[in-house]
Amino acid sequence: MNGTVRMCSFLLALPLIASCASRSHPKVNPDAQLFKEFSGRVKQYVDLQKKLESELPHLPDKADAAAIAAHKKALTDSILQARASARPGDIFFPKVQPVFKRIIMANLRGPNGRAILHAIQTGNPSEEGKPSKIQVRVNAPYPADEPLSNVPPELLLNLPQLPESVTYRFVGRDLILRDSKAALIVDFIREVTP
Amino acid sequence: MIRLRNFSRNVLLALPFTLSTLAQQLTLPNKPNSVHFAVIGDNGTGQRPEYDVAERLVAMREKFPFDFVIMMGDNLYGGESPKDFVKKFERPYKTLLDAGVKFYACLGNHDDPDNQRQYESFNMRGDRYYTFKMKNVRFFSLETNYMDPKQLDWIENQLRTSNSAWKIAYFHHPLYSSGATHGPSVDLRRVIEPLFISLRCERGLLRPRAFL
Repeated sequence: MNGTVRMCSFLLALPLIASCASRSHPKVNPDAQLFKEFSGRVKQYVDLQKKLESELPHLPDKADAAAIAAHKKALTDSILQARASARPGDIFFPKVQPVFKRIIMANLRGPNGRAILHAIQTGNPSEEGKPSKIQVRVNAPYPADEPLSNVPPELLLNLPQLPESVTYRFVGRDLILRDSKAALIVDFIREVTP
Repeated sequence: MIRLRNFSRNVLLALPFTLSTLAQQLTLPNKPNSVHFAVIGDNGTGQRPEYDVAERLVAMREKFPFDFVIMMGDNLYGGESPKDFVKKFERPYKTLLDAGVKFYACLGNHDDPDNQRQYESFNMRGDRYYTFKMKNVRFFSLETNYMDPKQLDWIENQLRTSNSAWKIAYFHHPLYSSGATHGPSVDLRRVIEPLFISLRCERGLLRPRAFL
């Protein structure tokens, strides 16, 4: 094979070589990796919640208020016992916290930022005009007589989706992960909003 | 001059009472075989005014025999112990409940989603958002405190596939409001109003700000 043919062959093969190179070293979205880890930690929590709930007497489909309250208390007590050593950052781990803050601030600075901030402040326990009883700490109860903040739909579109039994909420300027079934604060990030 | 001023003041004072009387004399279409329902919202105080409204509902039902009530959220204020459900719901609406009137609740920001969706008398069947049909009307109860992508997909699919003559969505946060305290939910409006318009949801029932 003479030099010209070799050069042409090489040039023809170049795109293929580049393509193979990119497939073996794909670019990784660092946010996606962090969110993947976050979602994994959330799933671990929900798996624990499901396991503990399955060990309780089944709540009937047509339940009265007393049965619902008893079931909730039993589940809450189980979770508190199982997660007695839980710490801030177990789920909102340190590396993912700035990503959440960045996404929330980007939304607040966007064209609909004013409406999004208004929604976050609506029903926000620390914004409703009277002092909130909520202590933002891991395993703290979310009292039944405290309102729940809105979480704007545009924000929910941009944050990692959560299983049904865990929700994002805002308490003042803090973002919390709230266990809907046990009404507990699972984890939190301080001061995500202005 | 003084007499004229007093006369004007008296007329102005009498005006709200006149309007109130006119409202009570309002005759609803009340056609046979139509869907009759009542709407309440922000009601769950357990205080005297809630009982007053419940009594008015009972009286109204004699002329307008509604079969069910839709609840627009903030169904219980304050705690949600079993005693609260009695004080703030079962007792005020006992006459209606005993008459077989059903209540279909949606969730407000003062409502514990987990408690209330499981409470039998709110007919939520364990779901934060749900649908039910009455004759030719399909109702969609939405949870607008937390309009996540899953719920958005659900309502879009429901509206798209429903062939009911009437489609009524109801939820706690008004898309349009001139209320001073909370105002309109513009963030929600941006996302959900296009769905209602494009998928022909004729009525989005919004919680009136100064209602009950």
